[in-house]
Amino acid sequence: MPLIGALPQPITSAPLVLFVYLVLILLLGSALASVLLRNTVYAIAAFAAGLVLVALLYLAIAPFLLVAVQLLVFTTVSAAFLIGLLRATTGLRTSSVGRLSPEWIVGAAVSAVMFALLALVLGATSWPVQFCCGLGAENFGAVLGNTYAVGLAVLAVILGSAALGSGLLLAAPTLPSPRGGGSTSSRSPGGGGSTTVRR
Amino acid sequence: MTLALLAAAPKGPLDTWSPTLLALFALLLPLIALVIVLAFTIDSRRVSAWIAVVFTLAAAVCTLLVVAIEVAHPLHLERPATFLQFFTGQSGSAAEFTLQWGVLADPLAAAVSVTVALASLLVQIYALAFMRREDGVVRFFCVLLFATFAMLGVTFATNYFEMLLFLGLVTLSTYLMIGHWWQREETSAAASRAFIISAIGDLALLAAVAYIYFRYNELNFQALSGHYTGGRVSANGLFAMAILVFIAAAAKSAQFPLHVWLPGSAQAPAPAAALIHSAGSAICGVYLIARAYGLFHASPRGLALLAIAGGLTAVLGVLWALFQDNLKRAIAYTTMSELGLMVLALGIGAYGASIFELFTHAWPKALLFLAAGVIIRELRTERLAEMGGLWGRMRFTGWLMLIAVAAGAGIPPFSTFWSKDTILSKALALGSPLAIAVVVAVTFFGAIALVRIFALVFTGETARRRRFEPDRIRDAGGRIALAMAVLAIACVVSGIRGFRGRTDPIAFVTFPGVPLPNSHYVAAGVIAATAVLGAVVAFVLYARRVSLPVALQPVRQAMGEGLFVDRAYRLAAVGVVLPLSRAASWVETRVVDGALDLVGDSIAFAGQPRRWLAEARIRPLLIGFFAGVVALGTLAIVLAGGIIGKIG
Amino acid sequence: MSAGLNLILVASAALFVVGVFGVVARRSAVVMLLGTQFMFIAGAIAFVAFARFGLGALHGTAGATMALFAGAIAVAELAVGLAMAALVYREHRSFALDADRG
Repeated sequence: MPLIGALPQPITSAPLVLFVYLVLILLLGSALASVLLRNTVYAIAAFAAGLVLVALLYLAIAPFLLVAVQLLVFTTVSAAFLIGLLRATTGLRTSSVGRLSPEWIVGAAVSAVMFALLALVLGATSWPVQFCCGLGAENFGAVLGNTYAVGLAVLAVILGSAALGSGLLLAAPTLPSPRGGGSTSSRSPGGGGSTTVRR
Repeated sequence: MTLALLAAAPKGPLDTWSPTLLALFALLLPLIALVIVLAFTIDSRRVSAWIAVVFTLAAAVCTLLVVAIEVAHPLHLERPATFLQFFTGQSGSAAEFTLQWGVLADPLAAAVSVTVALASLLVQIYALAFMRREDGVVRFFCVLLFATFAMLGVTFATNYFEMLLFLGLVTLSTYLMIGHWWQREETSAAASRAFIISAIGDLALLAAVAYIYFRYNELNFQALSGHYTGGRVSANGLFAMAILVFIAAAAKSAQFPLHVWLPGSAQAPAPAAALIHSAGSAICGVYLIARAYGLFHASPRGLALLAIAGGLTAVLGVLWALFQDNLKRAIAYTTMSELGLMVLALGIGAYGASIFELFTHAWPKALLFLAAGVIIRELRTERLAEMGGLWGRMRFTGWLMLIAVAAGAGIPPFSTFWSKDTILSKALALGSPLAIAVVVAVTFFGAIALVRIFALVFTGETARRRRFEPDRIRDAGGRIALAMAVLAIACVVSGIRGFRGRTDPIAFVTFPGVPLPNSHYVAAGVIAATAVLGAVVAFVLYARRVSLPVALQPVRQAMGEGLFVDRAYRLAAVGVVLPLSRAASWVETRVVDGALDLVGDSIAFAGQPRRWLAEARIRPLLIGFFAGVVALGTLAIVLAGGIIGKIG
Repeated sequence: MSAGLNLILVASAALFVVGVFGVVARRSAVVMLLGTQFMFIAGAIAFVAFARFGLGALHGTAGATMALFAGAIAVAELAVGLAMAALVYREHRSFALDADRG
């Protein structure tokens, strides 16, 4: 593998290293929780926590603007969407949905194979190769405004629509069900539990 | 995108205030007033009108301050203030071009901006009373504010592109002003005609902008001023640019082939017509030529084009004015001839004189239209044949109109005498017999045309008409009279120059490389004599209502119709443009819409659920998808590894 | 002890496969969408890591920009996906995308 330039600059200050490790472990934990938990509300909570942890990770390795956007925009909008959807459909109940099924094993197998592949790629490409040059500390905001101005505008529109949509969803009444009953709060808990397990 | 606003100068005497900042205020104040009126006071006529007047007054004060600063510091060349900059690219040639929007306050802009702002102010004061009982008063004032903003933008534009934008706004404002009483059919037709012709001019300017940018990579007036003579562009190229700019100016300033909108502008309400003719679209064209004068100066054929077209326009305009029956149209044709005179002056190299003429001509023209508004309203007719005998009944208006006519004709010591004198001086200095003849003839016939109007309106007996009682005519009063009186004062004093200790106003606006004309006593005498002679001839002819011999009646009709140029345009439009439009419309409905419908239909067809898709099982699909990703990834790595293994 | 490119890349890969698991193994539409979200996030983290530590350092902001755009796309995709989940719910009263039903 050819040497392109100077050595990469890993983080070496111990507190920051510990911080990054902690954030990564928690991030993985929250991701696992999010996909493993059977209760949808808890899964969404884990997801939101994961997004916040990603923002914390960005705090260590990315421009601050990205941290801010991740925290303030992506997290809130995604969470708002999810909560809004739940409010409109099943209601924010804490009963469990679904059960352990054989598909999980298949899913775990696929995930393991994919992870092995990615690890192989990482191992084959990242270690020996030295990447180039020092860190260019460009002004992120200015670069966004100049080089990526068009993309930024499109992004702003998309995010604006998403924020608007989430607000509407949160404010809207619950979806009318085709089988009668509007608000889910009027349904009996027993009936709710029995109709959700289907095959 | 970055926003850069020039820092405000601290309050202080004329030495420290920044003219560009004042110019920026002058530009933005009408816009702010417009926004305030539209947002807050649109339901109240009085408040909206007064807001308009107050803000325009502030803008006028700003422009006067700009002029004062420019006069106090004659050698102070101000850099333009940029208030908005678009970076059009990060690297390469795109990065070297930044589109700038700002104001440029140099003597030329200052002189013309004062004209615009003061004329707009006086017209609005007049309209406070004149339009009081009309429908759409708030709309009228909004349109006037918008027009003021657009014209000040043209005046203060720093580069061709900004000027193009503001000229487009002027086109729109002219359309809105002329079409104020759009319920009348001839008014809406006239407004559309004005819009189309102005838009033709804007298109020509767009082509000019593209061509200039393509050749010079620069659009800023100040930056370009040195480039024209550099030899980068051939003489033919310069002439082509000059032609394009001239077409744009001709459309705006009603030069010969594109003049047909000007008589139609008489359909506008009197204050709007006054604004258009004195300080509106009509002068924007002349101003454009003055701004681009470096281009014309570098292209002798361009200057010749200006002179020829200007002279032709001047002569035709004044001849047609002699045969008009409609009061406002007659005044409009005299405007056409004066504009032609301005363009002619630019063509023969009398740069300062042309701008001076622009300045001095604005006041009598505005006053004429405002007085015409009062007269038409009181007499309830627009036809000159039905007017007359007002001297006894409307004495005040009569005196004002007399001043306006004298000022417009060039009788000393009123305003246009001084400017026409300098134009003739330049023509004499050049020694061109054609130019001299044209200027003299235009002055002579111009005097006749204007005094004819005065005589037909004020002398003699009012023609008897049904349901009209001449005894109920009242003279103008209040704000109307105030506005007109101020204009009359301007007519008297605005031209005077050469007094001991005062700076010659011509020297105020200069173009490097164009020498100032010395004022010949000969020129002054000739102009004075011609104007007075014309006035006398007209008075004799028309006060006595000497009528045209029957044999010349067809001539009269032909001239009255503007030599049928308008009809020629209409025939061309019907004969050429209409079939083209029909063909284009067929293409659009059959071809373009058909193609789009085809695309939509095919997508709808593809979107219908197919049985196999509806019956597919998701989990296996997903597993298969990811398995495929893994397989492809492995394949890619093996291949890449093999290739890299061969190289490294 | 240092935190470098490889650590974050490994974490990104792990996050990605967690997302894959969520998409393949779970039946609930909402959780599957959460899985896709994690996949996006994993990609974004990888971009940022390269921008900070390695190859992208020449254009450091490009990586962060990519993360920003990826996040926005993820949110948009979440919106569309949740709309479809709502429709599924309205039809079948649960979020389950059953294999048999399709």
